[in-house]
Amino acid sequence: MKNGFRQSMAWLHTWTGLVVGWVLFFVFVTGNLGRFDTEIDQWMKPEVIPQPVPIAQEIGAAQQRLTQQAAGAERWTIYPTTNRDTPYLRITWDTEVKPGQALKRGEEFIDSSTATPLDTRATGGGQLLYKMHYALAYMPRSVSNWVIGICSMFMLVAIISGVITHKKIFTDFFTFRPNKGQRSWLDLHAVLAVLTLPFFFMITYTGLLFFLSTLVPGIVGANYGFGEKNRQQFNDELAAREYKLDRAESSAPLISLSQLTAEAERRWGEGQVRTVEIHYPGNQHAQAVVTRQIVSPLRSTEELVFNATNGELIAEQSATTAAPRTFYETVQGLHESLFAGWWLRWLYFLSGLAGVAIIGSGLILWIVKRRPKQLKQAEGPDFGHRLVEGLNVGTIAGLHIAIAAYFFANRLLPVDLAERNEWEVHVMFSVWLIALLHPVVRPINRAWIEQLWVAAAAFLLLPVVNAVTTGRDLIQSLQQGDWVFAGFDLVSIATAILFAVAALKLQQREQQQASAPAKTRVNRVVQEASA
Amino acid sequence: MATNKKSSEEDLTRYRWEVFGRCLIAVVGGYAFTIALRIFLTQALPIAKSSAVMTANLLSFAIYTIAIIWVFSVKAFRQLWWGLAGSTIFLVFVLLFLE
Repeated sequence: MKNGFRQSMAWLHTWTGLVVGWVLFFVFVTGNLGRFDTEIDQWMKPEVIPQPVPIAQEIGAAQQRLTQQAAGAERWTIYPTTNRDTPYLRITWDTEVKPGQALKRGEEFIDSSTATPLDTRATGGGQLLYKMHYALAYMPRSVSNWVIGICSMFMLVAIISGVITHKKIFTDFFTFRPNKGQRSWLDLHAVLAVLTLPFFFMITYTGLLFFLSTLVPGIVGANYGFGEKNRQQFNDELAAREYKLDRAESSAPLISLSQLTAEAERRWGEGQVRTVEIHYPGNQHAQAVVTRQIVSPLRSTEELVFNATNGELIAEQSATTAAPRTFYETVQGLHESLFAGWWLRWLYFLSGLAGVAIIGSGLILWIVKRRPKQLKQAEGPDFGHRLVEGLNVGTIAGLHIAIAAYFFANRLLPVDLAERNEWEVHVMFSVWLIALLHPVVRPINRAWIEQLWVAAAAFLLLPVVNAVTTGRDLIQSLQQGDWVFAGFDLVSIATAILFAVAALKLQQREQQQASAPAKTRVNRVVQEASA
Repeated sequence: MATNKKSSEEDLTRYRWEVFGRCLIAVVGGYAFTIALRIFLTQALPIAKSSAVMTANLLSFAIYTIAIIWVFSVKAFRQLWWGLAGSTIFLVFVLLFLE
């Protein structure tokens, strides 16, 4: 393409990174917040504080509610509060809408003492924020799967071409020259990328694997036929689920499911049950699959399969199956980090932040590199240049303001507002839209400074608004050892400080530049005179 | 001066068409090549069908990436076409032969 291999790769890296950079930035920020999705969930439902409840009571309440709510469903799933990912008892049910199509899912959080839905404000919670990183918003999954899939493919190409471009991987590891303009941005971009390359590559490649059936359906299709049912058959064959039955003609009542979890706990130990899944509840062929906790990156787990009408054990499934599937489940587990304890979870979060910084610095680098030439043009910078600059401000600073707005909406919207959870999202995206339009009417430096200050102020205000609306202020949270609330407040304040420092730096630079032109003019006169 | 400017404009247009062409070849051609190689893999791997499909699945994005990188690294345009078309046709033939 260009003269040399490396130059071609530098070109490819620049442009694949640029065109999807802002979507990737959004994906990384929201996905990274997803490392603490359940903690954010708890912060966004401040009126319910998770209480430890015996698993038998939870399973009983869930079964009662599901029988009322979803008797004819294809599948039920019960998530007791036995691990970090489910602070509240959660049930889902999948119903057939049309034969051969994907099932429709219903979901509820249950109060296990009354077997009724949890009495809390309607909110998307941290789950919704985390879901945006693969489903975006305001579009069906059939569209977002393609958008995210294609953007991820661009990122994979950008990563590989970026690695080829950089010949000095080892030196880059130790190189950072601050306050040198373009040089510093490049150093930052490279040093973070080299440092987190394995993480970055893993997260991108496994992210793509989630979209296999969207992006490249042909391979399963060519061997098993297309459509949902054939894909299910492929999955079952791969996972060696030989126990599976079709729906029978006759119906039969379910046994009490808590008997089955008791049997599972007897075998595995207390607290080891992760989920209970019931296929064809109420049918003669009803089966219950009890899964074990995830303790390693391998996210498929041991399973006990019961006949759900008489409690007989049908099969014991091993966590590991055919090698390609075990490999797949392991790398996907690495992406999801369900197994991660606190230290590892924070390491994931920091690596994700590095990812955010790599994408952000890459976008800024594109501008910084071209700015001197663009500013010399008689008619001012090109439209493309101004577009990238504006999108940079509105995304790098603006997206964070929008996320803060999402949290503010959770605290400030009236509790009885209709479709309240959707309004939280509307607030978030309206604010983001304003942030994206703001650079159109303001000089670019001013737009940066103003948005960074707004972001700083917003994140500093969040703990205050939280304290006023819930009464659970930072000092109280710290005293009580409530790390969900204290952690949220502290991270908020840290974010505010970060944005304030960035804003201050830009302001300083603006002042220096304001006094600089006079000096350069004098220099030029001196040079010309000496020439 | 005038001719100079004209030729540089022509260069720019040609450059733009080349970029467009390479993108098209990388995205569409690379995809076709990936699918062909994957179907070839599922037929050729001597393991259970479901495992072979999964293995091909796991490799697909690596294959696609390599194909894209290759499209942008080859110097001459013609070489590019022959490379992609040739390898895809080759895989299809092997596939037909296997069946």
